[in-house]
Amino acid sequence: MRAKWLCLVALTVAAAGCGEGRAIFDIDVFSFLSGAKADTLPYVGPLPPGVPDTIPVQTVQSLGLGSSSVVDTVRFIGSVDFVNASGTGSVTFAVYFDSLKTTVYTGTPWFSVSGPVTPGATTTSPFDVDIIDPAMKRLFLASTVYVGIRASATGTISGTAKLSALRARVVIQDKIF
Amino acid sequence: MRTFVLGFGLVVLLGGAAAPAAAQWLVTDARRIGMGGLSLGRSGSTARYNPAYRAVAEKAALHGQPKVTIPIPLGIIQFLHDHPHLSSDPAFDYKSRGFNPILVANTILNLPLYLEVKQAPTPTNDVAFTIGQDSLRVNLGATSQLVPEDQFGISGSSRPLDPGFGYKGFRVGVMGWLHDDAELQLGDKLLAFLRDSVPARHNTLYSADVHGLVAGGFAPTVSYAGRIAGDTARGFYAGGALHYYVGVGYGRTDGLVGDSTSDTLFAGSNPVNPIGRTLTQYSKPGNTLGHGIGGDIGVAWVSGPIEIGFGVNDIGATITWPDTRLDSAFYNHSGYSKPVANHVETKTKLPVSYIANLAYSVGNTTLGADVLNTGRGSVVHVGGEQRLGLFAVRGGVARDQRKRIEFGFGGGVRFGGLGLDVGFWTHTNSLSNERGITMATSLSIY
Repeated sequence: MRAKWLCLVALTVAAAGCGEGRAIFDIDVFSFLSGAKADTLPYVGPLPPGVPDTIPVQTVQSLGLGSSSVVDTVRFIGSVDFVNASGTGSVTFAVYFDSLKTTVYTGTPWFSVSGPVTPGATTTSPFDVDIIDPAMKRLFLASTVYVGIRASATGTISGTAKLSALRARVVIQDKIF
Repeated sequence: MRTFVLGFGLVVLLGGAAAPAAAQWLVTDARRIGMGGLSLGRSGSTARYNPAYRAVAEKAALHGQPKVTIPIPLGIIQFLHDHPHLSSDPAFDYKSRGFNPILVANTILNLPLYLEVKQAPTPTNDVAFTIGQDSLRVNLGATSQLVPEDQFGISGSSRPLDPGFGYKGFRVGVMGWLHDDAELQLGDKLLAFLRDSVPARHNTLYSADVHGLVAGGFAPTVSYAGRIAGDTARGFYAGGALHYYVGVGYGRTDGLVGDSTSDTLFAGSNPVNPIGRTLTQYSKPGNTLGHGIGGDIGVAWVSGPIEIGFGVNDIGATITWPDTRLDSAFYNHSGYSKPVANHVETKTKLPVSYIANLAYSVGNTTLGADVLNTGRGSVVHVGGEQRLGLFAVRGGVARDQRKRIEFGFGGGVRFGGLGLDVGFWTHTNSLSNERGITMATSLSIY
């Protein structure tokens, strides 16, 4: 995160100058997850006791703009591949965000994407989700956001959910000061 | 984060405001503003920077100048209207979370004496940030033009006090002097990142060079100003001053501040990796006094309606400080400071300032021009006034230290010994290339 200050410097120039313009952040969340090798998650159904269906909580460096800014838009765009090994059913891929690492998986997912799976086939499920809840939008103003992924299976199936893209587009209004 | 944002915003603001501040502020004469900031006769900057003008008779009647000018600060009314509860306004309360040092600095740098007739617009474009674990790119759009390519800063050389006495053109006095200089220059890589939207790179230092200096003291001065040839209607004047500068104290720091990226742009838990390297030199008040010799010279020629002058200040004004301490400081994750040397001799130099002025007054018409350079670029004023019975119309053009052209225009009405003047002056701020317009008003007593 040593480059974060560069972002901050740029942001200050933008804040000083952009007037009523917007600051648009395109955050490649996938790059943070794949860098930590947390972009792939095996699934199995029914889930045996003691087998996790989540990835370890990951850290994403976010905007750190404080509470005075107004978040106009938070949108997630991406795609997940369900590489199914056996069985027929469906898989749900859920994404969680939270400001606290310990509570990432305790709430409801921010969004989820499901896909039917068949033996030996790969199902690609793209998604494009707008976050409506203002409180959820404001989460991205924090300097650090924690992300988690859960893959849950319906049916007697097994395979791997592979995230192939996940970008967050955050648009804020100019109220940095 | 907010501190950082505000801090950098201040730098941008101060950097951009420095030039117009030096060129414009504290001009309270609406008549002068209407002529684009032109200095005439012994008004404005001419007497300050040209020692010969001490001997030049006031040409008040010839230039239509008043004896006394009283500003009418309509801008204060506007300011108080915008900030009706100043004492409790969080933007001005440094203890408040809503404290806005940018607004405070802007208010100080652009004192609200004038009525803001037209605000200089600020860019309203969107700015885009693309962030990945190993990528970072910023597109500031039109706002990128605000990122200064050249060195920018604030500097000044003032003479706050100059008591003394004189006889037949000679004068002996003790002049106070103060020199301050703050500069910042963005490094090439940081400049490219901000201005040209170049993606951030691995293992790269993004930095800015910094320089700050403040020095002050007093100077026993012997000066002379007198008419060398001619008479009051047509004469050649010369003036000079010899200063023995005594330095009471000074501090100076030069260095580099910035941050470096690592193998992966966004890796690890440490959000920043600031790096700072500075060399600080100072001679505190109480140390052995600094000393140096310098001088001012000036000439003026008055021939009927024509007046020409040229003056130079602080020629050769190098101050030697015999008891200076040097410290180096380095910061990378943690900081330390190391004494480099103590009780050593260092030198500072006052910037040489010069002014050239020209005025032509005939009948009810006055035209003039002046060029003033105080060590940080030249400021040029060209303007004039036409008096039409009770009324006067004025106009002028100025080029400020940022080489931007500004315009002045205005008028006045005079009833016997009392006059009312209105002057308009275009201005640009650090956030826009488009001009705003301020209006100054003042009463004149003739």
